[in-house]
Amino acid sequence: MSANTTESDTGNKRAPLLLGAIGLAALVVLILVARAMFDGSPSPPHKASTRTVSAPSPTPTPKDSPKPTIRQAAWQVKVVPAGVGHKLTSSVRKRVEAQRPALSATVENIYNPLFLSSSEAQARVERRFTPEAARRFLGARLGAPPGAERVDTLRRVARIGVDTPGATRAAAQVSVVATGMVKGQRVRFGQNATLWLTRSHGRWKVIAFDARRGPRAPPRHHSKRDRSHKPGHHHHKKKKP
Amino acid sequence: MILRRTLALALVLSVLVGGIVLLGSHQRTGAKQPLIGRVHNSFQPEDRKIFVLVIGSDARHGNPATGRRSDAIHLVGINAKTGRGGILNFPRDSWINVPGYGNARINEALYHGGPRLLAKTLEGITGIHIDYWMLTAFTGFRGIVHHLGGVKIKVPIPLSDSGGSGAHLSAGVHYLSGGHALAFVRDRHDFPHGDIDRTTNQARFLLALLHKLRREVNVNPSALLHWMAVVHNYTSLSISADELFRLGVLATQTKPSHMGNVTVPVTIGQEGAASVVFITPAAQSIYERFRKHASL
Repeated sequence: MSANTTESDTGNKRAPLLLGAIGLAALVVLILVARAMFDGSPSPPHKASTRTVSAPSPTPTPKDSPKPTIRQAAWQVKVVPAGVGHKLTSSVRKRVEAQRPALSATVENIYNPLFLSSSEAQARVERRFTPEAARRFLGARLGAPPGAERVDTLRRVARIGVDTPGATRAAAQVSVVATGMVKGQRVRFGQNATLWLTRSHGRWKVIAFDARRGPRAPPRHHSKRDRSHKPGHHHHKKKKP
Repeated sequence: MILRRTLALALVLSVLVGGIVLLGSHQRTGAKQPLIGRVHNSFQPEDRKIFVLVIGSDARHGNPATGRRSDAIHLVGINAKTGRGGILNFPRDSWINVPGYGNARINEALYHGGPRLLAKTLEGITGIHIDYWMLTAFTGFRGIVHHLGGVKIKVPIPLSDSGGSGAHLSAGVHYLSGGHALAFVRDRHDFPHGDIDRTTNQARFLLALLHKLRREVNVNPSALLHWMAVVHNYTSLSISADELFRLGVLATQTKPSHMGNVTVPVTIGQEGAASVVFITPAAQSIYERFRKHASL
């Protein structure tokens, strides 16, 4: 009986020490996990629908074009559920949420080298598009103007709608604005595109696209006055009778 | 006593279960009226040309869309290569050969053999390989238009059709909700050429839908996913959702201004006691052009 009492007393004394040790270990693990997450991937996971995928950082120049360091603008990617006529259930929300990293990665993967390295861009388009869509995308020559040098991307925005409840189809609206030197002059160019994607065997592929060279003003805030001040816009005056 | 209670309980339960089943089946026939399917088992678009047969059944509320006659028959062609297309409209009283049933009005093909027989009938007279059919009826049409938020269309003349479609609209641009849209596409009494004008108006309505889709997708591409969800809610699909998505994407890439709207040339006549219309030989050149380019 006395031996039992002694053991129990010793256990009581050890308990706070044990708890402290467990707490410390948990803290260390937490710090390590947090460091790994923030250092390993370009972006921390976000609960909110908007996220900045990568901070503005210099990107190494591609091998096939020895140029100075390139500034890449931060990606602003928003992934939202679409095709909803009613309140979303938590399981559907989770299903859409689960596709966020893969969808963002697909769009970024296509556009990161688009204005910088034509060979790399081609390889990525061929990997991420269906053969027909890839052929058309590459044929449309939507990258940087020929002879462009010292290309910097100024703005990279993507808004991706994912269908519910399946999360197997998506529509991505992508806008990229860049500048570069062409024949000694700094020119502004870019691309506004809609990518139509489907998911099969866990992989997102672009099945079709609508793209045009940018940049352009935001589509919904045009006024007649703004349009008339656009370069290249011609005024059509009424002929006098 | 126990037996009597058990019987009473069983009776109440059977009435409840039966009621639920009946309500369910009623909701299914009411809500899932339009149908989309393939005409042939394999889908092989030739030169990226796609033809879809759009059928409007005259089934009233609560009745299934199949096993009825068709009031609207449109062959929609899209050429993905050129981004052009067309809608070829067939008046419902067109007197033609229905395979297996001899000469009859074209709208009887749906009654005899469903959308596939109607598609085969049209393939026989036009020589066009039809890829898909889409069938809708009153309830489904109204529901789809309602859930898409209405459609903007120009009504060419004032409409006042109390006895038939119930259309009462002034001439000019209107934003039509589900019920008004249905009345507009059904109205033939207010038009000088009756059913021939009506079929042209139905195609105009399809083009107005396409215009709306493109406008919404231009602002936000995810709008296509919303449209798909609406169609899915009101449609019994016999094609995969991926195929529907691809068709939707194709539609967003086609400008309404690049879509022709042609009604087959006809002459009005009699076949026995029945008043019918005969498709004139001039239609052959239209079929040929449509078959070759998928545009009009």
